[in-house]
Amino acid sequence: MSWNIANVRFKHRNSDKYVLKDISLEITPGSFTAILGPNGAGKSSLLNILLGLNKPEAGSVNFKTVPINKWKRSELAKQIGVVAQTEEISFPLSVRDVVGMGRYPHLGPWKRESKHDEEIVSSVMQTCDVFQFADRDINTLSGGEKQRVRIARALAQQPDTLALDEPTAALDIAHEMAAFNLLKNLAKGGMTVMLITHHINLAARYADSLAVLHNGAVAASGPPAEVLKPQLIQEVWKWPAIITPHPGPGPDTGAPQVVPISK
Amino acid sequence: MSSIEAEPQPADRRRKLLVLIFLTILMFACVVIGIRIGAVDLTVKQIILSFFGKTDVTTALIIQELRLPRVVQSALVGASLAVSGAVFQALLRNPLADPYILGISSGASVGAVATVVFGIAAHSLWAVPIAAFAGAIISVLLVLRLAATVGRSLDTRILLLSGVILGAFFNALILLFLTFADLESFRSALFWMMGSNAGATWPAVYMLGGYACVSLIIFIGLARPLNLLAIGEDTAAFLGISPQKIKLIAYGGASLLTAAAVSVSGTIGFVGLVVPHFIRMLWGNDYRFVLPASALLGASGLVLADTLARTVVKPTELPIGVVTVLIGVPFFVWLLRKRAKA
Repeated sequence: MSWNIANVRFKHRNSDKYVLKDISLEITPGSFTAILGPNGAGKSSLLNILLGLNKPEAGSVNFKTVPINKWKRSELAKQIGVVAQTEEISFPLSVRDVVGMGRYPHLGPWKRESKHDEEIVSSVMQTCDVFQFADRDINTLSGGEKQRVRIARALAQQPDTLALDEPTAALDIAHEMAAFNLLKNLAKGGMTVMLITHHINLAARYADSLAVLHNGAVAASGPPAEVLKPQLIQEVWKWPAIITPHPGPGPDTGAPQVVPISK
Repeated sequence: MSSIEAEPQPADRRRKLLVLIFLTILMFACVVIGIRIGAVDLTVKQIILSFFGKTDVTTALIIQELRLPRVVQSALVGASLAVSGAVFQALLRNPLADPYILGISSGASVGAVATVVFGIAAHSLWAVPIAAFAGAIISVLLVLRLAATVGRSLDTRILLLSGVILGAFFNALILLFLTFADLESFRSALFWMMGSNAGATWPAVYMLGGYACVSLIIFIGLARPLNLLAIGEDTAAFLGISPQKIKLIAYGGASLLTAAAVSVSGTIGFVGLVVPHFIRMLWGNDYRFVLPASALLGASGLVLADTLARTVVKPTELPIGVVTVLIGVPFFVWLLRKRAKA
C-alpha cells in the first residue's frame, strides 16, 4: 500500500470546525488517484495530512506502511514529489535553478551537482516543455508555465510518488491535456499519482480511481464508472447533472462524463 | 530543442569562480591600500619588509599595531555585516532586510550607550564591546521570545514585527540615557552609534575573526537550504529540509555574527543591505555564490570606507557609518537606475 489512512479527524488550530471528520482511504502503488470535491471540502487539508504537514487529531496515516510522522523529511523527499497549490518566489531565480532544487533530496547541503544531476534536470525540463525558457527568470513566466516548471521540479526529485494540488488550474487546454497525459504515462511506468483537481471529467478519463470528499468524509471512492452517478453529483455539488459516456475517439472512449444541466 | 540551446551549467559555474577570484584579489588590493594610506603614507616595499622585521621601529609599529589590526578589523566587520545581511534577506524573504532589521543594533547601542553615559566605559577598554555584545544578544533573545509567544515559532512576519517593536523601544531607551549625558559622553556615544574602527586591537580582531570563520562555514552549509527557503517554506519542506531548524540556525548564526561585528565597531549602516543586493543584481540569487561573494565585497568596501574615513579630512576622523551611507546611497541609486534602463 502506498498510502493507508484510517479514521482521520482534523481541524485547524484556533478553529472549532472539523475540516475532516472521518476519512479512510487507501492508495495502491502505481495507481492514478484523483481526489474530487467542492470548494472547502478539505482536499488540501487531506493532502497536507498525507504529506505529514498537518497532524490529525485522531486516526492513522501510513506511507508505505510506516507512520508518516516517523519518516524523515529528507527521506520522504526522495519518495514523494509535491506540486503545491500556491508558491511565491521572493527572489529572481532561473527556471533551471528552480528545477535544479528538485535534486536537493539527493545532494544535501554539501554535495555538488554531477553531470548526471544536470542531465536529469535537462530531461525533466524537456518532459514538461519548459526547456526553452531554462535561463529565464521564473517570475517572468505565465501562471501555466510556472506550473509546468513546478511539475518538472517534482520530477527532478525522481520520486516514486507524486502528489499534486490542482496542478492544471492555470493551464490552457493543450497543456492541460499534456499534463494529464504525462501523469497517466508516469502512472503506467509505475509512479503512484495522487491528484487533487476540480476537473471531474478529465479525472474520469485519466484516473484509475476517484475519491470524492464531502462534509469532511469520503462520499464515494472507486473506479470512475462506479463513483460518478447523478445522485452523487447532486448531493455533493448541489447541482443536477447527467452522466454520459465519452463519445471518443481515443483510448478513453466510454469514460463517464458529467454534464451539468442548466436550470 | 537545439535551436534555443540554453547556457550550459559549467560556463556559469566557471564565470562565478572567476568572479570570486577577482573579488579575492580586490579584497587584498584594498587591504594593501588601507595599510599604505594614512597620517604617514607608506610604500608596498615598506609593508613587505615590515613583515620580515627589516624596517625601522616606528614604521613597524605603525604597520603592525595601528594599520594592520584596523584594516583587518574593517575587513572582518565588512564581511560579517554583508554575510549576515544576505542571510537575513533569505530568512525573512525580504530583499530590504539588513543585519539590524530585527533590533540587534538597537540592543547593542543600548548596552554601549549605557556604559558610556554612566561612566563605566572609562574603567576598561572592554566595557563597551562587552556591553554592546550583551545588549545585542539580549535583543535577539527578546525578539525570539516575543515571536514565540505570539504565533507559530519563527513566523517571519511576526519575527519582523517583534524586531521593529523592540527596536523602537530600545531607541527610546537610548534617547532617555542620552538626556542624562554630559556633552563629552554624548559625543562619544553618538560616535559609537555611527561606527568606527579606530579602536581596533588584535584581541578584538581574533575574537571577530573566530566568529566570522565559524559562521561562514556554517552559512556555506546553509546555502542550499537558504536557496530552498526562497521558494517558500512548505515547498522547502517537501524538498527535504526542516524550515524551522534552518531558520533557527540562520537566525542564531547571523545574529551572533552581527553582534560580534557591532560590538567591536559600532553600528555601521548600509553595508549589510547594499552589498548582498549588489551581488544579487549582477550575478543572481544562488546563495552558494551570494554568501562568499558578499563576504569578499563587504570586506573590500569597508576597508576602503575606513581608509576614506581616516584620510579625507586629516587629521579629523569621520565616523565610518557616515562614509558608507554617503557613498553607498548615490552608488545604489545609480545601480538601480542603470538596471531599470537595461
